[in-house]
Amino acid sequence: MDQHQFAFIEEAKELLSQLEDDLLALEESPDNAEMINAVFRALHTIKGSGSMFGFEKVEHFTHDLENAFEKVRNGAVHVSRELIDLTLAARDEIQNLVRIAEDDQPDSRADARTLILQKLQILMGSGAPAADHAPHSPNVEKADTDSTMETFRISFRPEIQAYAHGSDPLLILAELRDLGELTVTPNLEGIPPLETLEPETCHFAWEMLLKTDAGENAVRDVFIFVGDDCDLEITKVSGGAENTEEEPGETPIKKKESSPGTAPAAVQIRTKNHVEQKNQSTVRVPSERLDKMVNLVGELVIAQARLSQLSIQTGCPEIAAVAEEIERLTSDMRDTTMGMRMVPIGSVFGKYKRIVRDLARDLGKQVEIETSGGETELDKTVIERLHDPMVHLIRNAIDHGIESPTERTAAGKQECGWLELTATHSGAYVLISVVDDGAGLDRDRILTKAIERGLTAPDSNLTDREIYDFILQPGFSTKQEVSALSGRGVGMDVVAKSIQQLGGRIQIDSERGEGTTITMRLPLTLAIIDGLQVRIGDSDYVLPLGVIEECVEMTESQLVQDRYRHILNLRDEMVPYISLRHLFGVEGDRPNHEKIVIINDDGNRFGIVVDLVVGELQAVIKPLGKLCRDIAEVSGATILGDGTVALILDLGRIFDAVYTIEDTQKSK
Amino acid sequence: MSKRILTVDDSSSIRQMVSFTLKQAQYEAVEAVDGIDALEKIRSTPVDMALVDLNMPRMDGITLIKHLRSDAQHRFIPIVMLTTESQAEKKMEGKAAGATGWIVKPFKPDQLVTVIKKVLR
Repeated sequence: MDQHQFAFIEEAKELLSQLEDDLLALEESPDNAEMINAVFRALHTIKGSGSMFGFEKVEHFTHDLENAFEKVRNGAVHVSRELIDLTLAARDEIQNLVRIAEDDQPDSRADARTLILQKLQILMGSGAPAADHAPHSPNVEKADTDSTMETFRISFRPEIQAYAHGSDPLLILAELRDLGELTVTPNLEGIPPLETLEPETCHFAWEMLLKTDAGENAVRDVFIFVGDDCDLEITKVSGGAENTEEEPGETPIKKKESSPGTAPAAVQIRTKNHVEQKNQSTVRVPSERLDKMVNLVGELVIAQARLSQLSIQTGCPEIAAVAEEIERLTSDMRDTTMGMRMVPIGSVFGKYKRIVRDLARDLGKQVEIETSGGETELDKTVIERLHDPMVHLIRNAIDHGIESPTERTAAGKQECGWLELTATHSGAYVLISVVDDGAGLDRDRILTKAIERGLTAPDSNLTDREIYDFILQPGFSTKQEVSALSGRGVGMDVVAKSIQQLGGRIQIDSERGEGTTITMRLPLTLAIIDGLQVRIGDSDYVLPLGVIEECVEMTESQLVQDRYRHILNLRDEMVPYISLRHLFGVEGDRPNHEKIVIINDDGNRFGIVVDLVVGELQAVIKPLGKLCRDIAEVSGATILGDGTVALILDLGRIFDAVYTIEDTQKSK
Repeated sequence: MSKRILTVDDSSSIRQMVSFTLKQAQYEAVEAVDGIDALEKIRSTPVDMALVDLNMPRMDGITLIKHLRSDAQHRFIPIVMLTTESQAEKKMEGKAAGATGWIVKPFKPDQLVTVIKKVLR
């Protein structure tokens, strides 16, 4: 595959994704001329480009679809549910064609495509899409070469406005000369007197004799762009098999002039762009290069940290100045590089619309989907790895959450269910929610099941959220029957695991009869974070800077005595705190002056007691190995300037761990 | 000095292929994604020739050709339509708007060069 074909595949993927969005939008407003045009144009471009780069199957298949939409555009056929269904299915087939071309796989879907086209034909009525599969013959093809010499008499008068069409008659003469021996006699009769002569008009004419072996078609091809508008006579005067007498004007092979036809009015509907052109000033780069770049920047950040450390050790002001400069540049470079990997989540929200639509149809439910915050940007890798969990949550919401129209009516709800996908920023995190207005989770049933499975004690006092969290356990399902779509109890735990691997968390809120909201809290990036380096004993740790409010000295007077919790009085506000020294079982004496880092993590405000706050740093996140994978409190590790390893702490989980334990102790 | 040729097409792969071909044939290639973009691109640096797709968002090819023809700098340059429409009426509409010629997609690079040589001195 050459680079142009590769470019086509990339382009086709984008167009297909846009096409899907447009079709879904068209389904909502079937009379929207702008959308009809957009769909037509997408098909048109796919067909045109497909044919350019040798994707014949794509071209032929899309050709019929394009014809169908041309009819819609002309107002001959109206947009219907069936048409959208078929076009979406066809879109998938085009995508499939592109994919097999890309992966060089055999094509096994020819029957499926034929079926779609047949259905389309029926839908379009008698004036079915013309199965015009003959490739359009390029008009500049070489004429059949006739080896015998022939002589043509050519009488040529360009149209008066030839210059205004960008034509240069002399070029035509030059081209004729390329074909053979040419004798030219100018005919200046048409030139008006100087005072009435318009210099921008063409009044010349030429009489020519051309002796050539190129054949008549080749001679006619020379005039292909001017033939319809000019006076042209081409007469074969000698040579070839049918050697005629030289009798000028007697058997002229005259090209009939045709007046410029007017196109049907519907074709002239002005097309308007419904999306901002996004490719005007962008460069397409393979994502591996970006990944490599991010890795390199990561290494650079580590090297820079070492340099800063050394410059402090040497105490040389010149080196310190350079080190500071490099620190600043590295930080800028990191932000720019990370920015390159950020993709708006809206780009994938569109895909989910399709899933919702198809699923609702299959299940006989009515679901309206709304998205918000599509402009929220997330790391490309995060978005890619988010796809499966999102699909699963959406499936669950439609399969289990949203009720059938009859059930909904009985419950006093609108027949049409409602699903919302939202994305918002929250500090160094992005919150993505799947919200439905369905039946909600059955708290009691989940609790019963959890007790049955021995996940909790029957007398335990759990909050709603803690109960809902049980559905994230492996093999946990309250659904009696297994459906093809969901409810096999494998799923939510996989979702939870995927989100966990991304350094995120899931939160479930539900109201019986009102609906369920599942929120995924994800880090903005997976590669490098701004952190605060702290020390406990001999070890250094990194806290994500995004959740830190402030650092304060810990004084005895601030501490409030409480039997179960450590509470700190921070400017008359009670804040719980956790001693990392205590939590991690670090041996040795506490220093005289401990520090407290005040964290505000998703509404949980608490302090972390450390020996020493070392300072801010850019932490290149390195994943931990298999052995440490299940330690929830640690989200990764990083390499410090002096080469030692520091663990990056997941403060949200530390908070959860400590307070869940303490709550349990308290309740006993 | 090599001639500067503007390619206006909303398909990035076609633009890429055409520009590649133009550069191989020693022309200078300028690209635009639609009519409006094209008019912006040529405002500061006029071109010697334009290859114009007909079906484009924001401003279609026919409208662009009309604009070019009313612009003093581009009144007489060759304009070749890149068209998938082999129907006569579309071609005629383009010619009426001021197009010099056309080339029907799919075309091969050497066909494109042949057409350019045909209309550009």
